[in-house]
Amino acid sequence: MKEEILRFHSVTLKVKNEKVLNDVSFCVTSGEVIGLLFRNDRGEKELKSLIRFNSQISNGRIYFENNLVNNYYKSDLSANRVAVIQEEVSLIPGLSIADNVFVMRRGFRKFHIKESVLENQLERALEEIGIQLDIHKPVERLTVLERCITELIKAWLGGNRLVILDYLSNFMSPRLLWKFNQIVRHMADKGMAFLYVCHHHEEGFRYTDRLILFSDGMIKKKFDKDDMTEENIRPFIQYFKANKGMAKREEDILFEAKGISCEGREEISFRIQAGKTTTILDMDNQLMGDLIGILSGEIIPDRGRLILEGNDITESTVSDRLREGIILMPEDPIRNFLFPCHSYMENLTFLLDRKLGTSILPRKYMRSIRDEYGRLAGDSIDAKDITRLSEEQLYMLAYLRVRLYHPKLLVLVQPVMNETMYGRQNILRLIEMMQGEHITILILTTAVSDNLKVSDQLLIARKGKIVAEYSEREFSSFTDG
Amino acid sequence: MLRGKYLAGRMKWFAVFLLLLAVIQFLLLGMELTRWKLMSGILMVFLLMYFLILMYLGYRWLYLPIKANSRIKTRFLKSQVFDDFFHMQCPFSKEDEAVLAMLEEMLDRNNMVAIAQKESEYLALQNQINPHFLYNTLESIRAEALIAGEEQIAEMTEALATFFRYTISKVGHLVTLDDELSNIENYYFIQRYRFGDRISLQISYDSGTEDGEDILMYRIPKLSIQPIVENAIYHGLEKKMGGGLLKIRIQTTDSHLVIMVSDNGIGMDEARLEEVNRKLACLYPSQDESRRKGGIALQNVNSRIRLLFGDGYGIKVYSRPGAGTDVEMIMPLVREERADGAGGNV
Repeated sequence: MKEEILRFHSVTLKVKNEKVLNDVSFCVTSGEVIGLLFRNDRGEKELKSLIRFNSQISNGRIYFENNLVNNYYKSDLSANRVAVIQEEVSLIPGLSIADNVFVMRRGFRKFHIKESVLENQLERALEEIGIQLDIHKPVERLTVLERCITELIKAWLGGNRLVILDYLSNFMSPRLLWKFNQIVRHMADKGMAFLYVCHHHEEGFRYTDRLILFSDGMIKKKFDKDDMTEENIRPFIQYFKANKGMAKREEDILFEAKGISCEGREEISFRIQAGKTTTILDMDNQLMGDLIGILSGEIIPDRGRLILEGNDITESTVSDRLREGIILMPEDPIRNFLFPCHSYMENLTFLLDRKLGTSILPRKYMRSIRDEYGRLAGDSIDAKDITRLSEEQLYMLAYLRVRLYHPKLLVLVQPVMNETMYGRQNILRLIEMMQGEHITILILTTAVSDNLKVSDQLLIARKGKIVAEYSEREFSSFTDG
Repeated sequence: MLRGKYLAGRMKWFAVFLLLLAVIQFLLLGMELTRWKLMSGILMVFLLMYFLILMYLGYRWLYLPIKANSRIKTRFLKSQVFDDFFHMQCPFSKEDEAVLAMLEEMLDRNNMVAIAQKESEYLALQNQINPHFLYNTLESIRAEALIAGEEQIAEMTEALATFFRYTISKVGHLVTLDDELSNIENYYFIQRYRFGDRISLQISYDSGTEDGEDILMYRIPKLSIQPIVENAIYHGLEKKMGGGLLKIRIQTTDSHLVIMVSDNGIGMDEARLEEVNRKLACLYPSQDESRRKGGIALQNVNSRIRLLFGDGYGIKVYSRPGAGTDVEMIMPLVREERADGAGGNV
């Protein structure tokens, strides 16, 4: 019979007199992988914290391994045996895998440690679990997959029956994600339970046994395996309908990479048509770094050529890129693209001096920009302190800056990564706004997520080179299927 | 001393320690007036440590339990909890504990369960017709229909008679899942005459537990699933265009039974859902309010589950317009009916 590991019963949590978790009830049993999907981030942080630590709740009860560990009238702030695997590495560099697994765990009290004994124990444990791992490899040289496996084994041997897998797709390519999930399933069969926090329902449907959909700190729906269909989730999510007819389509090639290569790696070639949106899906995260460096001008390729509108821009540097009409919007643009100490208008017009060739913009220009963009940005355009604005307003600012500059090519790095369901829809709408302005877009991503909804062309990269190319018609057919 | 069960005892010891603090302070004052400066310095440090420890102990063993009791009382006054009030971890005194135990006895929990049970039967029958009379009459109609060769009428009458018999015959609080599911199949059979192919029913459960027990032998309160199925048909599926699907899924863990009744009907809006769940959070919603705003069947089942098994169990509703409604019931695993009718052998 399935052993109950965690049970939330009618848990409500108030922070500053506002309910961040409202009447949350769910149960996790051994051998299960339960998906948690948050439509917005309200209550997400608090829920994860309550699973790990028994801090004060406003109502309800929490049971861990069938023991009442937290309730509305008594919370002892103790910790539950729950491990977390997330982007942040929990292993200590400089120590061996065996040290990380055995020594750095709660309750280890030996003073004299024999490395060989620990290694033997670890090998035996790995054999028992049925996982292969080079235990002599230094922790700092482990690949992402090996690191996560090590953390998983550490959790298992540390007696943690429940593991939170926190947004794995943030740092794992689809292939790695699939591989790791095979191991997760294997460990679930051995009696562990997993809470799989994901960005997208497609990922949740694929890898979990049950999926719990949260919105505004409340459970909206629990999907059993046989409920996991697009039809069933449709009433709960806002489907983005790309109005691709708006953008003018031109068949001319705007940008071309011809056999470019860095530091002896594979040569890559691709072409981007003017006015279209191309997505490069890097399956194993081997191409992304080089491509970002090359497109931003930070890296000059050893071989090959970059052609923009027939001009060779291979040798140009970071400062030339803007002049040439290429803007690269990094991942998490709110933190990496905006200036928190500047006002909304200063952020909006930040790049204009390069375009107009003057460092001081005439007042009449500013007035006219304020009038035109005020209609899109609303009252926030007058904000002096942009840190008080919502994420939605800040994303709008980042994209409006691009719209104002109107580049020939906009490169978006992981544009919808780490976003909630609402956040993704918002960003897709902003991308559509860019398409409406006939801006050619290149999306670099390690996960398909919702990017295809705004794409006209999909290029698949594996082992550092482009291995497949699909038109919108082709990838629409396989995503629908 | 400070960790005793009763708050009164803890307060007594706390007062003693405070008195001791006052005495030491008095001594310290005396030393300040004499030449024992070094001694007074040491004593000052000791006094500070003593004060801090006393404050911590006061917070841990007095303030927190008083706060916990206050939270329990607030929720009891809002009818949100029942058990917790009578079994507080830190009652004020031994006498208070005895008074609460007596009160609980006087409230006669079983009587309350019986009232709720009767109410559920009333809901199922929908009127005050003598069920025995009705059952016998239905049997007679069935016999007449068979003689006249009207097999469909005979079948329908038999199903209706069986439904009434189940409702009135099982006098205990708990029935097996098998019995309750058979009653639902029977109820569905009757409803099929009205709705035809517009509704379909799916029942799924684990085939058996590892220790060889049949999941259908676990016990649940009588008429606990049927009112929810009835709600799903009348409020969810009846107004839906196209085919309606009703799913009953039963899952078990090592300690709990989870029954999910789902429909793909019209669902309900957020305000209505919030109202339903708010009422379910209370153990005894006022009758007037319940009848005025509906949802009495759901509340009745919820109250019976919580009265029988405790505050950690009950019903939750999830819904959204166009996405149907899920009603989740959580109960402990009960293998045998206890003499008092409550869940035992969990």
